[in-house]
Amino acid sequence: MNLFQKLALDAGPILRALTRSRAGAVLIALQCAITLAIITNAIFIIQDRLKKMARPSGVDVENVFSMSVIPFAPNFDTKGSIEADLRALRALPGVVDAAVVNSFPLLQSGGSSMYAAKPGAKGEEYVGAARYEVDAHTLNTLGLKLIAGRDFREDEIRGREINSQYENPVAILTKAYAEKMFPPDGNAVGKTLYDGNQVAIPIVGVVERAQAPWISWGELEYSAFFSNYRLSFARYIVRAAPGERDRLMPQVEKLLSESNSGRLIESMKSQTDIEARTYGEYRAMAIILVSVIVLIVIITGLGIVGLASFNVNARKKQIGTRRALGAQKGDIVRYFLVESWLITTAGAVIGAGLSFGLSYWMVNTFDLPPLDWHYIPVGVCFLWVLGLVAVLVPARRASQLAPALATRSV
Amino acid sequence: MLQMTHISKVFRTDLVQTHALRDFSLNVKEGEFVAVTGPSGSGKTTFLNIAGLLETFDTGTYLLDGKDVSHLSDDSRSRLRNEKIGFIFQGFNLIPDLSVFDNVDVPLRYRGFDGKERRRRIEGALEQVGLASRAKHLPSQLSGGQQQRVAIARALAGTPRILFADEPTGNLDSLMARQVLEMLEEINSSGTTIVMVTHDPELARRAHRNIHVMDGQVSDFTDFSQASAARDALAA
Amino acid sequence: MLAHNLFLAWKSLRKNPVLSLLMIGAIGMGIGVCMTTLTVYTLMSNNPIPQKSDVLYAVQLDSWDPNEAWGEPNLPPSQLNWRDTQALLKSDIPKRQVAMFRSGFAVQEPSNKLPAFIAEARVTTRDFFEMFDVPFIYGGGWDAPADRDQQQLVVLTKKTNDKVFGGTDSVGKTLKLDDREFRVVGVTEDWKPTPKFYDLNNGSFAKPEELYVPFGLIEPLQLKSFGNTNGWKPEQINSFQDFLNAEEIWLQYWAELPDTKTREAYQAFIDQYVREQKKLGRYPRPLNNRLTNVVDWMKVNEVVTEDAKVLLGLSFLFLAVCLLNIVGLLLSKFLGKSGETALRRALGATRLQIMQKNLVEVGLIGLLGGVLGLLLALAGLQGVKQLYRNYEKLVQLNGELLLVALGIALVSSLIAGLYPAWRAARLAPAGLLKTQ
Ligand SMILES: Nc1ncnc2c1ncn2[C@@H]1O[C@H](COP(=O)(O)OP(=O)(O)O)[C@@H](O)[C@H]1O
Ligand SMILES: [Mg+2]
Repeated sequence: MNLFQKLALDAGPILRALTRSRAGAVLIALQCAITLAIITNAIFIIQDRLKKMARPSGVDVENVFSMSVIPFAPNFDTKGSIEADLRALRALPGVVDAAVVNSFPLLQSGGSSMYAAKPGAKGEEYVGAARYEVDAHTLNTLGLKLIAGRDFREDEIRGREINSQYENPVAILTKAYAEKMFPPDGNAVGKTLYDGNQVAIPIVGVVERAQAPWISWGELEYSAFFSNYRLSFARYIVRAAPGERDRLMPQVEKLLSESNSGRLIESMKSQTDIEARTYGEYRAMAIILVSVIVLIVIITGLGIVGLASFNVNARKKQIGTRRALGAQKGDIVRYFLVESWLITTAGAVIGAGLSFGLSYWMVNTFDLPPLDWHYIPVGVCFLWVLGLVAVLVPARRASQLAPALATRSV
Repeated sequence: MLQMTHISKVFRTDLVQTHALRDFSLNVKEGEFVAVTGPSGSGKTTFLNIAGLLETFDTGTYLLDGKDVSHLSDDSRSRLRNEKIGFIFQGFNLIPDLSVFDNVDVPLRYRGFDGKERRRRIEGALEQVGLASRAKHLPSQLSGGQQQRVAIARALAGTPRILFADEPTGNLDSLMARQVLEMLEEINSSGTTIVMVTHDPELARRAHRNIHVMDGQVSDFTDFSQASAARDALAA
Repeated sequence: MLAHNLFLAWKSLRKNPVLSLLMIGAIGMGIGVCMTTLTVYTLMSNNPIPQKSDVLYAVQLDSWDPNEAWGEPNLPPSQLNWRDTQALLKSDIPKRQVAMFRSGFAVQEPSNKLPAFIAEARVTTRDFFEMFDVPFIYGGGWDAPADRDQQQLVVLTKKTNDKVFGGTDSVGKTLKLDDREFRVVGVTEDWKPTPKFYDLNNGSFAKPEELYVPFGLIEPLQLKSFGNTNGWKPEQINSFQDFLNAEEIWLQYWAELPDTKTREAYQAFIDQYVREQKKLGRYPRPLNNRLTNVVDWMKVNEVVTEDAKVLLGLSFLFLAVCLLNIVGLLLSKFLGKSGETALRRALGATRLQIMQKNLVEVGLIGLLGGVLGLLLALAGLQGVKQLYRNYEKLVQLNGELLLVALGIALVSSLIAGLYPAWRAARLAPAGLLKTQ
């Protein structure tokens, strides 16, 4: 007889015995069921978060850092100051490039507008995009990959006051936005984008990817760059040569604060930090859920160990008798393994239903996607392994009991 | 069938050493019905456990069915118990969560018989002890005598060569005890060797031979086989 | 009797230390996890201004896009544009009302000893302080004219006053905001409404502003919003004045309406205002103006994050697992001791007495588990603090929650122990002795 047949043979009477003294088994099965529901849903949420966190922003995250520039002195020459600052930054050894922008991917603050691919478009023909108002060094500083057309030229760049119109703007779109606006192939270069005021904006290039500033935005990769940067609420971004960022950041802070007293440099942060802060809640949720999973696995595992140990104690006489009747040590171990497997399987069946129930509740109550059914079989396998591993030690102890227990009173 | 020579067994605990058996020698022939008597603590159960391969011994030799069993592995001892030996216990030792049918089934599963064979044997054995109609009952739904008959059926179902019984009637009233004994005699008459521990001299007298154990040693033989033959002859 | 039962329970726990620790650990973990999530949840759903939460109303006018609501289901925008706030401020129906937004200034102290620093500011009408019960250390708010005219006045928070004036009474002194002289009229006590209900735009648990300046300064100083500005229709904006006259929304508006009559009158007023505006070609959407009290406002704006709710739900399931675990272990334990129980029954103990004895043991486990749970909750909250930097002030255990923790521990363990204790007490004394 092979092992599988042996296992199958054991199942019948064990199952019948289980249905007779069921309280303990039912409790463990219920525990397994809830555990399965928690684990599958938690892992699903974790996966969802990890997937979102893994989406590339398009930015050279490791080497970029940024700061906001806040001019406050009246009659301050903002434009001249920005140009001077950027010149100084670009001249620093270790700086690859520096640029002025209103916002950038993952910042969690910025602006968006609706644009259309033709003049005089109707409401639905407008599609929103994150609006990046930048200079000619931005693509290089962020490390974005140009896949069609060209970068902005210096002569296309204007500095713009916040409440004013664009001045001869040209645009660079992300591939995703280009494909949306100019289907099917997204050949946007040479075409024109129209904003709500019917300003025609020639498109000069397409970049592979640049996320919008807000990670929860529906169309995360619909972004457009315009060749007018902003004079207020501006930010400098700097791209350091690999390995130079941490050395450069304090140096830049010192340089800028000493060079000009009419404006303040605030919240200097590496893109790595910004990413970590932006995804902080996702990461926190993932970590908490992992801890919950670990704890619940420990609890349920120990519960199985505890109950199995008690069963071994309570069944000493029975085990001795089985040994006397010819059970080998392996048969005794197998008995407990099969028993545990049956209990966890019962739990898994209830748990599968419970998992979907929990998912259903969460989908209806919250903004969560429904549970992918693949998580159930994986969770069930895990539960089986947990049940078998947890019962192994008590089962081995049971198999070590002396056959003579059958005749000695215990 | 069973040949023990100079067997000794010592139990060691932290405080004391108990010589449960010392220089214990005994021969049981095939087809014999032997009763073992002796005061409490004299080593009867120890002898039975060793004979039934439930316990190992310290010195001496033991041939079971002509084979030396002193150095067998745990698994081979299990297999021998399963195939050649049947047990009947004072406390019946039925598994409370299993039905009568499943209880009798226990050793047969370890033997690896297929389902049909097991069913045939279980039904046969239950028939033999007169409990065929109780197959679906739980042990707790049976009287003591019935439970012990189930235990006998369980021992018989594997068609053992030798049957060990430790005080099989100890938990039964005298009427049920006699029924059980009659059943054992019947089994013996079909060729199965029986070794029975008892403290009831009346029951012991019905065996072929009585072995009196005292302080872990055989102290006395009484052979009833001739006497009963003579009695049979007189009756005739 | 209780003392004796406690003694027996303690002995029983000591006899099976591994099992006892397992049970105490299980309930402790369940309580610890639950308390952690419950603490975060209760603090998130905390009523920041309980004494007035039912008379303070966020004012919403549906000035949005005819084709698409601001939010689902058919929610009006959460902020107002400049023009409408000017009109609403003229009403004298509300007892108090504020229009306001978040901004910021570069702050320089008069002697220029400190380097300039950026301070977050709230640009607001004067009712803010009385309406939201902001406590003052020195001075107070400004007078009504400052809400309309250019008066460079400022109210500092304690923190800013400590930083700039070393904590002294600075009323009447001046400091520079964006290089302009402002006179201090008041210094507020530390005031941190949690959540920051009056402006949820930049995080429900964002820190409060560091100073306050009058609403009347917006036009003359062209103050810009540091918060959210949203628009739905393309507009030609070529100057600050254009921006003020645009449909762009960027101002928060609150009204204090002390009774139903006032509220109905005010609702009628804003509805009437919008109807008039419709005649002028504004407000293309159907009438949908709302007055929402503080508690409902926090619900509408989903101040309690989904994650917090999901975690709360999961943690109670977690507690359920822990309790099932304990029920199983207790059942085994009590039934395993059936010999002793039978003996006690045979010696004359009643079922009730057996139940009592068992329940005392369970209660002891619950109590110990509760204490462990509290320690774990403290650790858990530290962890949460590490993970969610901006919830820092959210995360503190208070006495009330402490009691709740012990309560949940005790009650849930007693519930968990009831069945096993009853099962054990139900066993017939005779039957048990026989099987021995
Ligand atoms: N597992 C054991 N450990 C220690 N001493 C034992 C053990 N089993 C039996 N004994 C001792 O061995 C002696 C013989 O016991 P046993 O064979 O059970 O006697 P009987 O069955 O004749 O009453 C007794 O003194 C008993 O106390
Ligand atoms: Mg004995």
